[in-house]
Amino acid sequence: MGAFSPEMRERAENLLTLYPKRRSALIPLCHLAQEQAGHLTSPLMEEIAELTGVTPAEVYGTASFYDMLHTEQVGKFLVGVCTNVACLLQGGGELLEHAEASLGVAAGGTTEDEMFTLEEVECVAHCDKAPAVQVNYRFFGPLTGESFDDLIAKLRAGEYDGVVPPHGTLTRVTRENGIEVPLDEVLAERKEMDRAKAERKAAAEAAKEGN
Amino acid sequence: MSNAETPASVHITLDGVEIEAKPGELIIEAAERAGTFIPRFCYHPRMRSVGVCRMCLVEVSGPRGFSLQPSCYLPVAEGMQVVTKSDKVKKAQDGVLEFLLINHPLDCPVCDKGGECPLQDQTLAYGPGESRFVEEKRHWEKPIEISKLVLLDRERCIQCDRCTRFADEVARDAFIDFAGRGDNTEISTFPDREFTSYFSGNTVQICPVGALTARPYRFKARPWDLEEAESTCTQCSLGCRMAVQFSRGEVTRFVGIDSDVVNTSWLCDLGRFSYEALDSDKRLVEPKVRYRSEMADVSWRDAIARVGTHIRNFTSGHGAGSIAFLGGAGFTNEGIYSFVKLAKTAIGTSLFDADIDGGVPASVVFATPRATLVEALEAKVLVVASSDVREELPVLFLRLNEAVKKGLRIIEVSELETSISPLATERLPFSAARLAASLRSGGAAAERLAAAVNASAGDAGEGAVFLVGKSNFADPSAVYGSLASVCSKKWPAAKFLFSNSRANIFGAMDLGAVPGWLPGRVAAPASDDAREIIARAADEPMLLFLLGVDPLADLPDTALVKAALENATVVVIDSFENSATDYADVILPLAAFGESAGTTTNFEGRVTRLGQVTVPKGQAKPDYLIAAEIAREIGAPSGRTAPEAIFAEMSGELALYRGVSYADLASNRYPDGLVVPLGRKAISIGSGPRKLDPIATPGLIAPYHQGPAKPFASEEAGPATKVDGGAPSVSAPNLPEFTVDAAAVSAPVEGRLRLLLTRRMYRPTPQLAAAPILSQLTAQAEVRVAPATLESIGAADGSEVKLTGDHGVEVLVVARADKALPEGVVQGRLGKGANLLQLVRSGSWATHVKVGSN
Ligand code: SF4
Ligand code: SF4
Ligand code: FES
Ligand code: FES
Repeated sequence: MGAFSPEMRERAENLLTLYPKRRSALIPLCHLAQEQAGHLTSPLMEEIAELTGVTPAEVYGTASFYDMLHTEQVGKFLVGVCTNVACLLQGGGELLEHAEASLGVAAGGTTEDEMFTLEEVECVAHCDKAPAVQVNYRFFGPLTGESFDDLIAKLRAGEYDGVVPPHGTLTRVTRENGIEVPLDEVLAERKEMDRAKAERKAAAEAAKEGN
Repeated sequence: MSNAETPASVHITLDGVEIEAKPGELIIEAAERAGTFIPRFCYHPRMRSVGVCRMCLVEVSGPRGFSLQPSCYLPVAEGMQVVTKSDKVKKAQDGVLEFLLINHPLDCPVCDKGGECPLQDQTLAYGPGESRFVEEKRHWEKPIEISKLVLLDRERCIQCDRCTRFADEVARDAFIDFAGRGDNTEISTFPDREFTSYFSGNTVQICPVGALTARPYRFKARPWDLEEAESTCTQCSLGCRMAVQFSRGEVTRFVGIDSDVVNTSWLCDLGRFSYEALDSDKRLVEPKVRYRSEMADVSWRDAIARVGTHIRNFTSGHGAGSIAFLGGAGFTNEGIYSFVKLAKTAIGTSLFDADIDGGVPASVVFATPRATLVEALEAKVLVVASSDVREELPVLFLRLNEAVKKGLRIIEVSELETSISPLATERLPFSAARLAASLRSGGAAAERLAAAVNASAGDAGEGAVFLVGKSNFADPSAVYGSLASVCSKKWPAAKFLFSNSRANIFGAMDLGAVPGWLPGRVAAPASDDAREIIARAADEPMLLFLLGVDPLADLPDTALVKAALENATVVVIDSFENSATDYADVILPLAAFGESAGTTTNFEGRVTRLGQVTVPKGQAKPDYLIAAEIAREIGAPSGRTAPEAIFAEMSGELALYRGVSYADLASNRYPDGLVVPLGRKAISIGSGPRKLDPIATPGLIAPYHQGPAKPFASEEAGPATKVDGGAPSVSAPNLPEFTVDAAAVSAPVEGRLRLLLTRRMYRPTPQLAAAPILSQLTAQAEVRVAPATLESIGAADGSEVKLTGDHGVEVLVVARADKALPEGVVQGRLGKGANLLQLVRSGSWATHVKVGSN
């Protein structure tokens, strides 16, 4: 019934245990949801709300704040063309225009086959290769109109599958053996913190009474 | 508990003048008390400070000289110097306003807020006068409907975080939040969901611009055309204080008044928008009598003559005991008093029951020491054994939520999870009957409650307050009487409040409109209650007066009620059409809210004035006048016909109202009315007109007179006499005994589930049905069933099931799976679409149903 797949739900529940307050897991859970569906669908946001104990409107409010969280459908590849100073000087503006024409969508739009979403982005720190393009946060550049089309064709043909995973994939936290949550350690640490806190409180109260 | 570190006051210099401030107080508050208004948008005294709008910047001295600081965020400190009027401050205010106006559409001429808009007012008073912005402003689709009641014009929003803070902190309904970032920030609901809060209207009241508007008021009036009168909401017995605003004889809006002792400026949507119904074509506006089988419009004289004939015929034919009055809890005190006198003195019948819901009986209400709302909020422990507070006395939920944040401990006694459960320190999952039985003869339930109460309030319950009310509308009232009674016996120092929720039910009790009582809490021999009267009417000739009630909707045993209405001669006195009007022989149209003056009494016993702002619609008349005309018709001494005079008679004759005068109740000295009987602690001394909105100068000032411009004699006359007087003048009767068959209440019945009946705020009432927008929100009836039970009969969540009552009555109703239900019960939620009350048999200790597939 849930929007998360059983595997993702388990990962979500594991994640929750890492935080003293459930709602702190909100953003990590949004990333998990994007890994599963590529973007945050309404049912996923509702499930995150249930897991973190906030309302769906609050999940939506938080998610819509961040550029890397998408509450609307995005393609398998999120293509960002940089038009910040260095790239602009190297023809980033023209590149964006070319990209719009060649993909047939305006910046912000998604192609009909749901393969590509085009975005105009600010400096992505790839200035030495200006004009730069990022695809699912992997960098390409310098690009011309031609090499851009070539990149798109290769992405579409799956030639970059090993290099550019589908949008949302969390390669940084997915390990061969899944995420290892050092739960024992975390709990032990938290216990110690609670104990120290209680001690401080008792000391403070004793001091007060002494007054 | 004050120790050496917290001084009683701190001293700050405000614009060169030394003033005294309370420790911990915010600069903006200290300045305001000293008479210096600092402009603001996001600050609201009833919510947490967030300091987001920067309108309140002032210069504050610090270790590195003066700097600009938000005065709504910074607490005062000893020796602090504050400058509110320097060039630097002025420049900051200019700048903040210029920025706020960059994206503001300036559509004031078509904006509802124009004329009472803090942004408009403060721009005029503190703004730059001219904008340097020539670029394109942002545009949004407008307005969007975030609920049936509230519309949002996003481009007007100044992101002050008031509505969202209200929804989250005050109402615990964070169904709106900021979405987006930067100049794309907007207030938003979750996609495709509505802002379905019971309290959404408050966000409209506190929005400092016209971004949030209420559909019933939108484009209806201009604030400068509105007159206003202070009044009290009569949609439930909490009695929220509010200003009734009206224009050309029509009620246009209700605005909550910041009354510390009752509603701290909040209203629920049911109360706030109930005026929608006042002008509806479902109003009864003509006197009617039945000729053969048709109802015909007649003159008042003919209608009253017909009523007189009925009274004479029934008295001579069957005795005065064949005449009964049901209802009246929606009437003014003056109306109730007049009707009780008519019934009990002029006609001579004792049959009068205003407590149609069969809530906690008057005998217990009078016998237990009553708490005020403030006492309950500040109690050492508050025991809530009541119907769901948010559904019955909605704004009380907001007050409890606030109090819990300040440290109130709530112990909830409830079989079902309610809106209070998340606020409670502990929930004891017992039924009222089980707890009462256990308190009487010992048991686990009693022990757990005792442990929880005694820990805070000691064995005598000093400082403990109990809120008792009907948590299961299938139960007889004795269950709740018994619970309150044993609690009071066990904790003699504890105080009580009761959640009987009909508007003026406590006024009706005080004035003898309930069985066994006469006006002024004077005991009389016991007599039949509403259920017994109906049972009699089904097979004896009776004359029934229905005073603003619809027994078909409100009483169990629908078949019996139908038989009674068919058999009896029925006189309906009501403002709205309802199902009982079909059975009427005479219909007398009753003035509705705002159309008649008078007083009302809330659940604390607080008597407040109702503002009259317009004349009754059509031929309708105020309750006390109708009673007086009937009295005159039957040759009884004609009663008084002005509310002042009737109140004067009440306070002259009844010890309960001694020392309270009608004029005092409307004066600035007692802006929140007076709790009767007057006792040492009963009084809240007011301090002149209160601002309706704390935000702007001049802003809205709460009206200090009720009813069209009338000066109050007592205003200049110094403190009212006797108000401060010693002990209460009315002594409490002894605690009554109730026999409750505890075994019958909780014994399981093979193959059946015990039915718990609960109500919701938007329950189908004749007034709700007459309100165009609110009626769309009317709750649907449903039954909540354990998932396993649903599965066993092959029904799915959301499908219809058949409930069969103990006496074979069958009801089809939508079922919902509910994992949280305790074992052996189903929860029926009353609403439209199915009448679940007919499953209940009057007088039975418990109601069981069989859940079957449709
Ligand atoms: S809608 Fe009104 S109350 Fe809400 S943030 Fe905007 S301006 Fe403030
Ligand atoms: S809580 Fe009761 S008195 Fe207050 S506004 Fe709502 S219905 Fe009216
Ligand atoms: S300016 Fe384009 S990557 Fe830095
Ligand atoms: S920042 Fe102080 S009122 Fe908004």
